Amino acid sequence: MKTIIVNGIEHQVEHDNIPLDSLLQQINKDLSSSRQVVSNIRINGEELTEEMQGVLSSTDVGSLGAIEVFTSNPAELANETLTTLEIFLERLLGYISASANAYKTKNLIAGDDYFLKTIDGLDLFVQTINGVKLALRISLQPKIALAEATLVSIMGDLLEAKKQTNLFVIAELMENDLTQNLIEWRDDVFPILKNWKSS
Amino acid sequence: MRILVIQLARSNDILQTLPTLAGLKRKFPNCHIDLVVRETFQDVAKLFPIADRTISLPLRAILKPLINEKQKVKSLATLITWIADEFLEATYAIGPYDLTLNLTFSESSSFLTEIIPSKERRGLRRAFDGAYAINDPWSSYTYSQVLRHNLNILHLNDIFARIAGVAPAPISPVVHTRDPGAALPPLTIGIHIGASHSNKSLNPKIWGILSQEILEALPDAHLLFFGSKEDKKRSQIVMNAINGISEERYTNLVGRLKLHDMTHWIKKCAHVITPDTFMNQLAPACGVNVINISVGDVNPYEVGPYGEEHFVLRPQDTTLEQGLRPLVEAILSIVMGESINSEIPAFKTKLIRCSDETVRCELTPVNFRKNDIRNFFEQAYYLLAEFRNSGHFEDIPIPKLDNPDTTYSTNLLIASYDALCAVKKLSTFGSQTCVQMIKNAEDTTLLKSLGKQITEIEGLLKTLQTSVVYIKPLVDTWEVAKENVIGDSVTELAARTEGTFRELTHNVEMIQELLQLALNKNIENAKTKQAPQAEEKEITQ
Repeated sequence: MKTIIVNGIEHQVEHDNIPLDSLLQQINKDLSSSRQVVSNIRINGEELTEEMQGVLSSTDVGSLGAIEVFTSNPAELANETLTTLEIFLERLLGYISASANAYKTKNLIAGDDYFLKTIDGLDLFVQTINGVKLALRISLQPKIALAEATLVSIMGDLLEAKKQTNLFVIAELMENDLTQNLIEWRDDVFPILKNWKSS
Repeated sequence: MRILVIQLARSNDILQTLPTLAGLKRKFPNCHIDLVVRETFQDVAKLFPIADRTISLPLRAILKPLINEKQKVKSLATLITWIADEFLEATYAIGPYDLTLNLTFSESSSFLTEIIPSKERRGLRRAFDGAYAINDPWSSYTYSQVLRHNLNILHLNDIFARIAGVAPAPISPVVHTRDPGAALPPLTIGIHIGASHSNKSLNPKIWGILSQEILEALPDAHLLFFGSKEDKKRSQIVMNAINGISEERYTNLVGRLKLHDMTHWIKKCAHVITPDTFMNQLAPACGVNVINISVGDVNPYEVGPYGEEHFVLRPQDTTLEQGLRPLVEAILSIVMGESINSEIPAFKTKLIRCSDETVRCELTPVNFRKNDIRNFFEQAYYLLAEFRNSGHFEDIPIPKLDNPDTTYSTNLLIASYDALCAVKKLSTFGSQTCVQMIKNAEDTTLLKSLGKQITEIEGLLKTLQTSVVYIKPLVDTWEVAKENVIGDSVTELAARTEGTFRELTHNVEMIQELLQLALNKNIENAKTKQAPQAEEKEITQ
């Protein structure tokens, strides 16, 4: 018998020789009916990272120390993600501004550097938004769809301009179009996503 | 939106600025525009009241103490008082200008640009260390291509409008004086005999002979002579040179008209013949066709008449009376609406719509073919300018580069191509040296040595700049960009300098690509010509 703590409440696991992976799968199955997902796992008080989870996936739960599991409502998770994304967006806007300024003042090394950071950041942004939409089960919302389409179009234009070494257009797109679009995401789209959980 | 436009040059420059103001009003209908001009030329701005406020710089009052009484302090005090009264009071009350456009490109104007509070400044300005600075691409183009007399084919009206980010709009005078009501024949031709410098106009005796020839060839024509007060003596020589023609057939208005009155008389003309850049702009604004006789060190592409169906004649010899016959023939052909068969090179103006909805005024040869190599490089540098400064590719045909007809042309083409390759190698080396400086920013000994390398590269580029004429625009562009590099640290300076070298490399590559396209087209054309000849040979055999 193994005792695990789920959201502060003790639960007994019949067999302590099952691998950690199987235990987590079982917990997720049990939670699915109440629309909850595992948000955090601690072993002996330490947060289990993705890497460690991979390493310990086949380890018997009996040999691990104290196991604590925390769960969340997907909407709550999405809301937390959006809050984090807002902070990340400010940093991304900083990279965009820095890149545009660098290209305009002919500092192409810094411009290219910030440009790469921008592209990586946009990639992460898009992936995160897709995750949020999935968690909130959003299929089609006009404002979100428009913001997405605009962002995709701007990114296409940016990459084309980069291929042509069209520094003028790169700076213009970053300073104006892209910045405006991301501000629209922050000011118009994020509130829609945040309120989605309560509708 | 509050916009300040500074134009402290002469009257023709003010006239060339006004279409930009009209363009700004069209794009931003609610904007407020203040225009700064020299007091001497304020009448020009008042004739075209596009600006909401025209501010006159009292240059004489400012300089007078300095010149006459050596009172520098008094001179400075007058200037400071003027700036405070006209600008600072308003900006403290309302806030800074949203945009300042300095379209003067002089040292004095650059200081004024910097002193007056503004959120954004374009044109020549001053950096924090007092050195000149240019931040926007079209102003940089003006400084490196126009002021350095390179292969620019853009009209100043178009360049100023591009600096402002608008399309130039038509202007027309608002006259506050009464039309004199003089009844003149339909074929009234204006002749403006003066120019800002005597070497930019014809000799007055030649004007006289030219006028006589026109009157003899066109019995129904009446001539109106225009010019400033300074041209009065010259006009007497012109009148004296006209022999055997009734005085009823011409009217001497030289030095007798104020600007507003002159517009009434210009509007009575079917054509105006002029060497003067001011009249080149004024006559079209009055709806009159211009025949510009472009002489001396003037670039008609930049300051010629603006609009549709004006003509520019470039006589090579304007001193000998025998050389006048072709000029007279050309003028008469234009006036009669006939094709120009004269040996004088003639151009016609045309407004071309660009890919970004702006326009430009093009000069097209009418009776001659431009040198292919020069034509190629003019068009290539124009394409490069639109790409670099506005970010778009202009849709113009790749200039033809047929087989050079002289050994000189072939050698020049080869020399230009070799120079392009050399510039590319130097700029790549410069770029790599700058990267080394960034990586070793702490090593002062190595930095010194790398700095010397950069100086050597610059020296070699300057050699190419002066030795191969078609490479000069590229190197001048790079040089101006490099002079405007500022930075707080060695790393930042090196990084921005690297950027100028890298941009030079890209520019060279673009020109080389265009050259390759033009040459490929030549090869295709040559093959097409050979094919029918081969067929012909077969049939004969």
